Amino acid sequence: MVELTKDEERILNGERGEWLAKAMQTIVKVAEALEAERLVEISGAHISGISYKNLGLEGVDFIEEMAGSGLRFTVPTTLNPAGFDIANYRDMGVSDEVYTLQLRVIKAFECMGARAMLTCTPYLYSPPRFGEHLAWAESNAVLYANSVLGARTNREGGPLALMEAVVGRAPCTGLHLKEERLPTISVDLGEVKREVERKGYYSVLGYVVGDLVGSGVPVVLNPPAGLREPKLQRLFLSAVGASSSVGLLLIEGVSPEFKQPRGVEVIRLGVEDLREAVDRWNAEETDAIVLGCPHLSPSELAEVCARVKGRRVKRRVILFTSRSCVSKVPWVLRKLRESGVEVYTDTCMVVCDLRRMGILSCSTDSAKAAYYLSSQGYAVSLAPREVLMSNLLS
Amino acid sequence: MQTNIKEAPLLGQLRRVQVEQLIKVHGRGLVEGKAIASLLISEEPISFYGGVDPDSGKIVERGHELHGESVAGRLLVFPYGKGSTVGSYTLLRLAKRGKAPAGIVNLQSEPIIIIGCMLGGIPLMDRPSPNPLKLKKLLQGRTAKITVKGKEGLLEVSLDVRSKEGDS
Repeated sequence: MVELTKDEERILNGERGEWLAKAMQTIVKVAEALEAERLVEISGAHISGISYKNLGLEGVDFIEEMAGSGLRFTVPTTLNPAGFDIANYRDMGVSDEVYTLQLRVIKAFECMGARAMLTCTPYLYSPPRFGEHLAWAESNAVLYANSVLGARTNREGGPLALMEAVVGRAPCTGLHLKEERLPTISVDLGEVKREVERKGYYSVLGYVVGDLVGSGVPVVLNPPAGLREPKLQRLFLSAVGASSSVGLLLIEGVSPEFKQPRGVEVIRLGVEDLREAVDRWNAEETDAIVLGCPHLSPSELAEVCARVKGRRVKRRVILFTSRSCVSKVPWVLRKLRESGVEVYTDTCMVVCDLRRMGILSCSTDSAKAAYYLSSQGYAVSLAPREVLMSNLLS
Repeated sequence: MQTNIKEAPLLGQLRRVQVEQLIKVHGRGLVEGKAIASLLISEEPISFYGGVDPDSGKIVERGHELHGESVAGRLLVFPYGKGSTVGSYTLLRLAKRGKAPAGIVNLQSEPIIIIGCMLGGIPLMDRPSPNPLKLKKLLQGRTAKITVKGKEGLLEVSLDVRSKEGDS
C-alpha cells in the first residue's frame, strides 16, 4: 500500500486537473508494483526517449497533447539527446519531414518547461548536490549522479521520468533509500590496476565490472588512478551502465558514500578478464573514429583540438557533444571544423543513424558505444582514446 | 482450477451433459479493463521497442519464441518486459492503431509495461496464480477473459473438454 500525503491525494483525485491526475495515477501504479511505501519529492528530472524514431507519430501527438493541456514540469527538467543535430540535420542525411517531427517533440517538451539540453551529461552543466533526490533516465547520468556526486536516483525509464517530472514525485524505493545504497558485492581491482593505468583500459574495465556483477551495489576496491579523473570516470561508468542494471557503485577514494565493505562476496578481477573484453570489438579498417559517448566535455573537446594542431585530419573523425559544451568553447568548434573534424551536437552515435552518413564501421573509445553500435549491426573497434588520437594525422 | 458440470435440459430420452472446465487465474490488478480474446503465451520476456513492429504488432525479435506472431488483439502472457524503456510508447502506438494486445498478464510487471498499458488503455494484471506459463501447452490459443477491477485481476479460460451423450 502506497501512503500518500494529502496533497498527493488531491492530485490523484483530479483536483488539479485531469492530466496531472493521470500522471499521478501512473506514478502510484508503478510505486505499487515496486512495493514502495510512499513517494519521494524530487528536485530534478532528466528525460530520455526524445528521438522521433522512438516516439513515432502517435508519441509526438501524445507529448503535444500533454503540453497543450497546460501540463507543466514542476521540477527543473533536462532532455537526453535527440535523433540528429538540429542545426545540421541535412549533413546527417535527415529528411525535412523527420526534422519537422523531431522539432515538434522538442518544442512540446520546451513548452512544458524543459531545458532542451539534448545531452546525456546534464551533470556537467547543472550538477546535483549530495543527497538530492532525482528522477533521471539515462544510465550514465544516473551512475555519475549516484556514484560521484552522491545524489539519489534510480535508473528510470524515459516515460516514467516524464511522468515524475510532471508530478515532482517518484516512488520512494531502491536507490532513494539509504539502506538500499549499501554494498552488496565487492570488486577488487588490485590485480588489474597497473594494466589499466598503463594501457588506458578504463572503458573496457567498466564493461567487465558491470558484466560480472550484473546488479546490486558494487564496491570498487583498489581502483586505478584514472578513476579520479572525471573524463575517465564517465567512460568507466557509462560502460558499467551498458553491461548491467547497476545504478550506483561505491568507488574507493571517489564516491562520497564509500565505506569498507563487510561480509559481502569479493570478486577479484584478473588481467585475463580484461583481455577477453578488449578482443571483443576488434574490427579492422573502420570508416570513422567516433568519440563522445558520453558527450565530450569542453576540456575534452579542447584536448582533441590540441591533438589536431590545426592540421587537416587524414581520417574521418566525428565528435558528439552538446550545445552547452560548444557554447563554452566556440573557438574550439571553429578550429576543429577547419581541420575537417565533424562535430555534432544534440545527438550521439548511438541514437543518430550513422548509416545515413555513409558509415558502416567505426572505431571508438567507449565500450558503451561499442556495445550498442555492434548490436545495431556496425563493425566496431574499441581502443583507448590515446591510441585513436595517435593516428589522426597520419 | 474448478470443474463445473452443467446439465442441459432434458431432451426426451437424450440428455446432453457438457463438462466444462474453467480455469480461474487470480492476480494483482494494475490497469483496469475487460477483454475477451485468444491467449498468446510467451515464456520469454518481450521487448516492445525493437522487438515488436509498431505498425503491425508482429513480434520481430530474431530468435524469439513467438517470432512472426502478432500481439494485435491477443491476450498476451509473458514474464516481464525487457529492453529500452521507450517500449511504453510502442504500446501507445499499437493501441492508437488498433494493433495492441487486448490485455496483458505478466508474472511481474515493470514500469515499461505498466506505463505502456496506462497510455494505451490496455488491461494489465500480474502475479498470476496458478502460473499460466506453466500451463502454456494447455492454454495457448484458447479464448480467455481478463477482468481487472481495482486491485483484483482475473483471467478466466474455459476448456471445453468433451461433451458427453448418454441415456438417462
